[in-house]
Amino acid sequence: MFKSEDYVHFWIDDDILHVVYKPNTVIDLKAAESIVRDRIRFQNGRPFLILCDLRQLKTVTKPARDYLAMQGSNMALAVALIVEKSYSGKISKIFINTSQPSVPTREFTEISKALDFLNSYLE
Amino acid sequence: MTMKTDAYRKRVLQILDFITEITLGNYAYQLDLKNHKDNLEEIVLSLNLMVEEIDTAVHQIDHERSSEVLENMILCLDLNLCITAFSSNFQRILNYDQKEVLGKSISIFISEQSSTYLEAEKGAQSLENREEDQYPFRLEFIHKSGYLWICYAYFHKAQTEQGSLYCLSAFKSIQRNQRIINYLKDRTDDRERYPSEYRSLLLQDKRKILRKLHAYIMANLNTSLPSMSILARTVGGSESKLKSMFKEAYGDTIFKYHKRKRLEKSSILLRDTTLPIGQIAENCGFVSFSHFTRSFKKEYGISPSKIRKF
Repeated sequence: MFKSEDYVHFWIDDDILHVVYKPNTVIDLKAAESIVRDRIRFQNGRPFLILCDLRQLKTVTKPARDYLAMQGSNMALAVALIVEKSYSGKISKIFINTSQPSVPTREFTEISKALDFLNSYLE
Repeated sequence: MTMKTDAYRKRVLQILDFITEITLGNYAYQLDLKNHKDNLEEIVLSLNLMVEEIDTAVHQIDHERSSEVLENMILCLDLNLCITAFSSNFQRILNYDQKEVLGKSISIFISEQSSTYLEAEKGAQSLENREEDQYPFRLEFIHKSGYLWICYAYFHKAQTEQGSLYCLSAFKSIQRNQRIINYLKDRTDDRERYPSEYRSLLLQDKRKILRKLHAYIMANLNTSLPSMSILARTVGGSESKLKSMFKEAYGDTIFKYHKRKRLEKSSILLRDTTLPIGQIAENCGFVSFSHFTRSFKKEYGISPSKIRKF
């Protein structure tokens, strides 16, 4: 099960929705809206744990960060952000601390730890 | 090696100018980001993130003095996309002299990506009978110091007695705070009135409480909010202060804002999922189906079932 959009790739694996941003993507409000809309359509009413890989992302504008933190949390149970320590780590730190997503969201540099975090929300 | 050093120096100077703009209270610019991710680019990214956050913080704290205005720049271009006329704010925003602008190609003042887009638009406009509606597109102007003024624009072909020309209308929504403008105009005698350390701390506290309250509201879109007294105990602060601070920052009462956000969530779920309407109502904290339908219709002027049919 795989779906590709203009900015991200989506797929579901082991009950976790994987979202990977394409290289050098700039996310503005319009892009954020289309990503959230497509993700919610893709999930079709079923809430998911989300593993979101930001490592290749270029930047996300402030309106887009705030949108992703609010409306972007719809139908998400918890979100693990995969980042590098440098660069994308800066974006995730600002996102988590100032935009304050409304579902549990944490940043990780290792996918295995991110999966452990998400799996802790599985009953 | 020398070239790399020159580019590095140029970039550092650009960053220093950008920091000066921030210090002067200009938050409308962004530094362009390169595709490689070295330490310097990480600094650039961090500065861009920082200026956006400062802009939000300043205008959120001083809500009553900040207002959203649309900055609009107009440029007339000949058929080779050289500038023949420009609105006066072009010089103010991008800091060029008149002689540096007139007769010059627009490509000097916009990013490569924007330039490519404009050339393509020009090609499309030269096709006769192009009648489809135009949409605004993202345009990146380059300030004389190298950083970007990112806006949206329309590009039209216009007819004059002398022939055809192009008209580029660029606009950007910015927050304007009269108090900051006055302060920067007349610093000498106003210096002592600038927020004291004590006032800054008060504003910081206010912001923290507001954030906590907002996060609480957004985390509880699936249920109704507790009473004001419980809310006040949960996030700290007195009931009356909480009410007035929230209204000042978000332009709505706490409970109306919560309801509006629940309805926004429901409209997303109606539009983008096939969940039954009853379940959506429940997920968005409405106690009964009829209550949900009534509220939805009042807010959007259309019933939930009709939205779904679109």
